[in-house]
Amino acid sequence: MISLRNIEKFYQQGPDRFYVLRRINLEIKEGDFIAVMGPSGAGKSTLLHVLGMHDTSWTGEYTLFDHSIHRMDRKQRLEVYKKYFGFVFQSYHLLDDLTVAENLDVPLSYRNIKKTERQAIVADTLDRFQMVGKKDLFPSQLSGGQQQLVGVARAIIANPKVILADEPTGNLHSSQGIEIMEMFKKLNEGGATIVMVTHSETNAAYAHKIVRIVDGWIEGDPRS
Amino acid sequence: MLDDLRGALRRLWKNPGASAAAVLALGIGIGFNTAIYSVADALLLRPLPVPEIDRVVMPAGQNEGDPRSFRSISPADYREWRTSAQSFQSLAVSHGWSANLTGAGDPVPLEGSQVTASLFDVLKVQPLIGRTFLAEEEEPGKDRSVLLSYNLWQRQFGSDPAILNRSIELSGRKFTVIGVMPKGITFPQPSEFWVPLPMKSEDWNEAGSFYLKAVARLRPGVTLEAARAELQGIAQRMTAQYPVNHRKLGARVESLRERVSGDLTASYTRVTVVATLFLLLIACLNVASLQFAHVVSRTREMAIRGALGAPRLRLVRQVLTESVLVALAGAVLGLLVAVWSLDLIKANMPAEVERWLPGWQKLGLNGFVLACTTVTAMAAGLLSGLGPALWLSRTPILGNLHDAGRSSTGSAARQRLRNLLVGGEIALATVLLAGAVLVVKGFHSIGQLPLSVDPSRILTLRVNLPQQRYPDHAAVARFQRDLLDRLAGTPGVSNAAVTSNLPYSDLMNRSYVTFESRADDGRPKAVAQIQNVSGGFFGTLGIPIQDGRAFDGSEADDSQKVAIVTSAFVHQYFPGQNPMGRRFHLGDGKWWTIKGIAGDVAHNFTERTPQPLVYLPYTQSGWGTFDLAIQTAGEPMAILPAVRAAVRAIDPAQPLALIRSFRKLINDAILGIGHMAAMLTVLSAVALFLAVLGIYSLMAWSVRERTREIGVRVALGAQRGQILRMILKKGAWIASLSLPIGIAGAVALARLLSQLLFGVSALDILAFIGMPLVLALALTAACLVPARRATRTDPLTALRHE
Repeated sequence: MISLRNIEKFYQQGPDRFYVLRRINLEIKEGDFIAVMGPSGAGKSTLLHVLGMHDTSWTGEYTLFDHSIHRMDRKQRLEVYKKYFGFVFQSYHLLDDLTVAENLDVPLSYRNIKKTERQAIVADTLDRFQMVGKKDLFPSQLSGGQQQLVGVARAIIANPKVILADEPTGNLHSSQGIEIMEMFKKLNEGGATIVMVTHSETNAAYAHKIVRIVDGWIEGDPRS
Repeated sequence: MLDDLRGALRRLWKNPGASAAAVLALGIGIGFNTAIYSVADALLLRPLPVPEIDRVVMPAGQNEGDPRSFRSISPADYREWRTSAQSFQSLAVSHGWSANLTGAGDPVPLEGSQVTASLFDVLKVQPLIGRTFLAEEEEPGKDRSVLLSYNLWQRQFGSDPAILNRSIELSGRKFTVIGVMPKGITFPQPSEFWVPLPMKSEDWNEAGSFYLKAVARLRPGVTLEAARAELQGIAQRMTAQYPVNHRKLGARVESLRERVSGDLTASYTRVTVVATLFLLLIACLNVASLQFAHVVSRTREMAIRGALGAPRLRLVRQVLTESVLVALAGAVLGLLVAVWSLDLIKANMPAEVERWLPGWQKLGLNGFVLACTTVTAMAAGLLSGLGPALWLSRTPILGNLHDAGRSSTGSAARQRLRNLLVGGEIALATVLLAGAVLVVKGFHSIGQLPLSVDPSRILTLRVNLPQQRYPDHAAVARFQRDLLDRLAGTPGVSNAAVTSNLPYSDLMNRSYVTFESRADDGRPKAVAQIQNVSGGFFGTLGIPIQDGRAFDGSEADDSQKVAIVTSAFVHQYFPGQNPMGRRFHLGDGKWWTIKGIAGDVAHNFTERTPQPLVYLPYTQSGWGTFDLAIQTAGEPMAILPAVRAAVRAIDPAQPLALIRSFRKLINDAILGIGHMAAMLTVLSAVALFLAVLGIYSLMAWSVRERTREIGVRVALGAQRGQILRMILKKGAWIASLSLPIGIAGAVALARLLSQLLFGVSALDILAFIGMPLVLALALTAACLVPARRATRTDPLTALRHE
């Protein structure tokens, strides 16, 4: 499904290059649940944002199904992103001025879906995540766990094939973390491919496969 | 889109202070624009409610070599055009008639027109009630029908619906009211009534009297150029047919709309439109600068939206929706500003001037103006929001998500952009301030005449003696002499004079001058303004007699005809010669002998140099419409009852018109530029305020952003004076870059204004140095407030978050 070949990313610092990702080669199959682990600053989140196409300044080959992402311009990548991906952030990143329902509507509104259809999808999702009673609340009126639940709901609302999650439980109590991870497990069982950055071994245990990154290299790669 | 709108409303509601400031700034800018759109619409675009006005033209005569001349035509011209000109679908002529409405209480002086029956066919205007003239009513004896203007019907007859067939008396002659014209129809300006122009068929052969104004409707598809070419051809035939009267006389055709609006009104309106657009631009820059200050609080939101798949265009649209919404709210406020401004403009327009402005009666907000306002508001919204919108749409997702929206990325670039916007405001405000100073000084300069008598100590009024009671020059002169004699003994009167027209008044008589013993050398004919005056005219107005003597009243109709000419006349027609005793005639065969030379005085503020002028004694020539000038020892209006009594003693049925001081007469004549000067003063004051507000908010924002840095500096031992200098230096830097740009713009504007407007100088120290200095002082004061706040920074508070 996803194939990364020799992905590299660096920052130019004067005459020197500071690499954050080195020769990353990674295969992700449909239905995978992958945990990306490693120390702070190792390049985990950068890899996730490369996968999510938020980061565009990298070299190498990135293939998603039959799309050669590395050959696409910004606009084409955006279209592919909207079709295949959902993103969950560590800090939830809900829009403060919007209600729960409106936050859920945001990704749909960027996908040329009719208003009535969007309203139905939002209603379904609220129901699925048992948040109907909170649909008119603003993020500031929710607990951290509830906010992240909205974050996850927002990530899956457009029915993505891949969910990218950047330390989704990093700001949560352990009980709230478990709730989120159970949700991911359910989504994965439903067919979604999940790539999750985490520091937590407990969370990583939910994954089928663990990819460890150190100083930009994938650990265990014979070329590192 | 609805989502964007809802989000925008919510966001604006959440920041009431910033939203109100932006609405206020744009509201003021849009409001003044709306007001000036109304003026432009009423005076320039739709001065007369005439259908297909673009096809209505004013044909006229033109002196060869004088492209600005726009001459009345002779009856023979009209006859010829009517029979030969194929360009015209219909053609009409008119002749002004100042009449007194008598027979119903106090006599009322009115301005009207004698017109051919075809006038309203040309205009395609139907009366509100009644009918227009029939062709047979042009025959002498059948010409006793009158059409009333809407205003006259309203004012004098209380909008009486039974006015039709009522008999009224105009200058002692009975006329029957046959109709009332709709509101806004006052053509030829400033007609309050219309009567038929009575002409016998042979009268139309008269080729030597040029007193008719023509108006025509072009056939469909005929252009102005084609009509001009055709009339030029006819003019050549007329010159061949009438070599004496039509020598060196061509023809021109101008659009009615441009002609009735006039070059000056168009210039004033255009300059004011540009000034209001400048103000709006300053307001837009102000709002854009304010928005840039708040950009940082929105980077996180934009990064999230970008991460959720928002295309850049959607992000731009979202931010622009907010700024357009602010601008539309500004437009609502602007309508209040516009209504207030228009009320003020209308309240300050004297009736004597208003009647010369076609379209003025319709001045106000209408659908067209509101549409223009909406477009302007949307443009202002897009303009003020585009920069911040583009900036925000480029928010890098990565850095701003990682830093939870507290990224400092782009802070320096944003700072530079805000500097640029505020600098732009200052530069534009400098141009506007300098422009206002130039126009105000121009207004004062053209209002100053080289007279040794204070114009505010002179009472002026117009007398219009009806031809029925004063059929010849002798009768008119008798009235004038009697009146002057009576006034001479009136307490409070220092000096009094009659004159065919006063400087800056609406009357003007020009004539060809033929000198004795001077061969026709092929040069353009000599032309001079002709003014009939009594001997006291020069003393009353304080015009010096440089050589010879003033008229003493002994000049009788049958004695030698004498004239006084001006310095400009001598300079132009007798360079290096003594003109005293030389003779000339004015086309009627009477020889006038030059007996004196008077100083120059402008008769029209549009004269860039003094024009040749001939004074003739009122006892030897003149006509029934004349001005009276009375120099008074005290307040001029105080002697008005005595003047009325003197006139009533001679002729109880004779009304007086245009009663005002000479100062007011001058001010009324230059009211257009006066209005523009007042408008520009207000606009530049608002621009100054916005520029000061702009730099204040920039400096306050800059100090807030640098709180930590200032705290560190203070902690490291920086003195208050050093912090103050550091902050002020930035303001000084912006001002020192933008003020010279503004001054350069002001110099360019001054050149343009000096060509467009009379009295405006292209070189003015006050405009180019004084006003920027005032602006610099105001800017310094605006910077001082945040700078002083910075000096009070407590390092412990500033660094608490470290």
